[in-house]
Amino acid sequence: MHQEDLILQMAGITKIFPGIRALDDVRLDLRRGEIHALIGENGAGKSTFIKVLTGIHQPDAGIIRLNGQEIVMADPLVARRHGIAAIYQHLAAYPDLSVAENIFMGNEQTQGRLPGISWKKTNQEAEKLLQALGSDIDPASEMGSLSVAQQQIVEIAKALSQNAQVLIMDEPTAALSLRESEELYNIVRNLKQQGTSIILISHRFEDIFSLADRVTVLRDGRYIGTWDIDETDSDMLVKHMVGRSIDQFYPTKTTLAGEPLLKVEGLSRTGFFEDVSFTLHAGEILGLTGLVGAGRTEVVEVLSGVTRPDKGKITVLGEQRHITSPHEAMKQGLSLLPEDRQKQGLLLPWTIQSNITLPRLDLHKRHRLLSPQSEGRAAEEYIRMLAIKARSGGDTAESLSGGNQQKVVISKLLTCGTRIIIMDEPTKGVDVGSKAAIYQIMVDLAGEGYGILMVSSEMPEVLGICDRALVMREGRIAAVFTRGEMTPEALLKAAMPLEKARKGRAEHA
Amino acid sequence: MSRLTNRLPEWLKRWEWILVILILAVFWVFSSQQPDNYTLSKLLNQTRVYMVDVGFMALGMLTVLILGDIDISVAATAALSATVMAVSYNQGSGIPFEAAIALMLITGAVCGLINGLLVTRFSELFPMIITLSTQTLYRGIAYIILKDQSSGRFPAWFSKDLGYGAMSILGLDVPIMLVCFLAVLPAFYIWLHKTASGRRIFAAGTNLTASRYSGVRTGRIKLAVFTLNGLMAAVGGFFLTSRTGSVKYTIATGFEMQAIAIAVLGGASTSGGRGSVVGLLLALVLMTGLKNGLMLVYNDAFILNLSIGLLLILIVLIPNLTGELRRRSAVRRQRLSLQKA
Repeated sequence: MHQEDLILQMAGITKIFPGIRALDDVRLDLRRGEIHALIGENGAGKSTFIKVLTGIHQPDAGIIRLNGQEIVMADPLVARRHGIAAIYQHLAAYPDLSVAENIFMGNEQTQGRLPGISWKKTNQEAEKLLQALGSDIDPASEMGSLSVAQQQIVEIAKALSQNAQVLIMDEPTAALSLRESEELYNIVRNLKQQGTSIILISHRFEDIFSLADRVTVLRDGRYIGTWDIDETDSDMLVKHMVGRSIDQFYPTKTTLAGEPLLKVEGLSRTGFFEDVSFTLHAGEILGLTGLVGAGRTEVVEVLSGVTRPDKGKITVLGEQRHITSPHEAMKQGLSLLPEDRQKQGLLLPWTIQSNITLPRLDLHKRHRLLSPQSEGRAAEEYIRMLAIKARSGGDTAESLSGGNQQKVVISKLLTCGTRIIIMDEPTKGVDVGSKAAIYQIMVDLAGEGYGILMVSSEMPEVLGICDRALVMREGRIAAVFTRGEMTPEALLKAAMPLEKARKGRAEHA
Repeated sequence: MSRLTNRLPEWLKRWEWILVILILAVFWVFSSQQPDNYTLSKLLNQTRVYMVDVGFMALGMLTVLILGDIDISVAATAALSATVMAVSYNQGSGIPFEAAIALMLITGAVCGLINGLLVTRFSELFPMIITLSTQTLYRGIAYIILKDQSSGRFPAWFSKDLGYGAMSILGLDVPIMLVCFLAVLPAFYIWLHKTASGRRIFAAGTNLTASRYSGVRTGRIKLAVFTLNGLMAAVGGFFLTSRTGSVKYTIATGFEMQAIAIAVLGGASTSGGRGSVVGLLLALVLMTGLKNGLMLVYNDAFILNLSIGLLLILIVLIPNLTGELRRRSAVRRQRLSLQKA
């Protein structure tokens, strides 16, 4: 390898936060025009590493060399001036402004010496950029009206407009459907051909194996190694990420379904889903799958009282119920693990203990006051039971890795004491090791007679642990599969919308 | 600087200790400058003006701020409630004074409830804007009732004993209204910091969505907190009237800002989820000591307000400044190591 091949060199990067060595002597070499995957479990230090590169965090040691020249990334502006651009998981767009305005935000286009913004030039340049990416998005359309996938493309265009040499993509396909992912892959490959160097962070092996040239693995803030993509396979990468091999990823489920717990008949919410009917039994893990936007999350939001249905019957343990709020849902026997654990599942600055006890504070009262001892005991119990990696119940939720955060949310569900548990994407953004642990917890719960409804976009996990699977398509249940009937092809076929309808829906979403 | 703050033990970094140090500093400076006038008994005397009525309003404001909301209408609520009391008592020829007091408290609570209903029903509007509007509404109603008149001649126990009376505690003359205020504080402390409903208020202020998903009835809590805030505003207006002896529609003007300032100085965050009753008490003591001292030295209300404004800005900036200093020293260190290499 020659020195001049490298556009970016980071070596000896160390970052210490109070109590934690977030990064310890981490390095990364990025060749010009390569796609370099950066992977590791949640909490492995990927985000911190990227934040050091983009000047958000200052490293305690280490050097960053761009085109052979050493640079101090004093703040995010310095990084931007040197052509380092990042596209984050959570897009920071201005939904009410146009696509062109979003692209040139902070970099407004002027004509000659005139001080005002030239809208003609703004729109023209935006169109040029989008076309170079092979996209037909109208630069005049409102950002908020685009799908997540399209917004991502706009973000890429924005990065290119700032002459990005190094583009960092953080979980770009996390919120995309299969088709949309494919489109994004094409765009990324295109960029590579035009000479952009890309650092790709992803949990999805599909992303890595279809895009990356090389892959670097981090674990516990340390550098594990870099490999050419041809030298590796997913088993090997998993082994490097977890530090051990996972033989039995999906636990075997032995319990059979018992009596019906939840019966849903003809449930509708206009504009989101229609005529949804199913029954959830005790001891059953029921999958609810389909493409993003098919209406799955909306169904579970109605079941858990976040929104109201327009039509339909919900029967819980033999009694018909009107669920008007999450509080009511809990009282009537359903609890929900929401899709977005950071925004909906947890109070991030609060301790593990306070998070776990929040849904049932009434259980921790002594003489009408809260009892810290009782709360502490509950937290300890769940930390032990679910093997949450934390020093104590007094650690804040935000200090935990994604997988452990999710375990805290599961603890909250368990304190509710409801027999019906609804989980919306329980393993989204969770590392491999924690994923296996969460599956085990779910299977154990089913064994104890809980009924679990799991919304999931990940086909392997639906195939891996569900007894039955409902597939939603465009707001309706398109098919129901029993365990024996489930194959990847069958699930995918049921989920895929008819071509004509698809377009209308995408615009609607 | 950053080294120093890192080495301090955790309990010393608590905001309350910074307030204690500031209080000691303020008391030391003024009592060495004005040893005859700046004494404990004179300060206690002044708590009637600087501490009690604003204190009640700040307590209500604290709960609203913990929720992540704000209520600009508290001073107007106090004025309207006091107006209702004065007019219904009508200088002795109206309803009995006890009934007038009850009517006043109800008025305050209803004003708060209206704010709460507007805030929960129209979640797309900011509480700041809603209560800014109800502020002018409430004071407007007070004006319609009283016009430019003032109304007073309250019973002696109210305007004399409560307003200016004192009881002897440990040889000091402690104003009765201060005793009333200090008696309410423990109740607020226990409620906010030690009970389930207090915890839920902090939860809703920290993350409304996650709290709702956790089964916290956030709408109901907001209504309750805004209603309580209106009630506390009326209580503040009650004690204010007891020392002024009469009511005009303009009373308590600007008190909402003082209440917010006290709660924020005491550690509450306008973005919700943080605040403490102990901090609020310390902030009140600090303000009382400072205002009293500044009035003694300068005898000028403008200098007083200016100094308080400067102090507030400084104090709110401290946490931001330390973070920025830490970042800058990290950049400097890297540049130095680069030069050496």
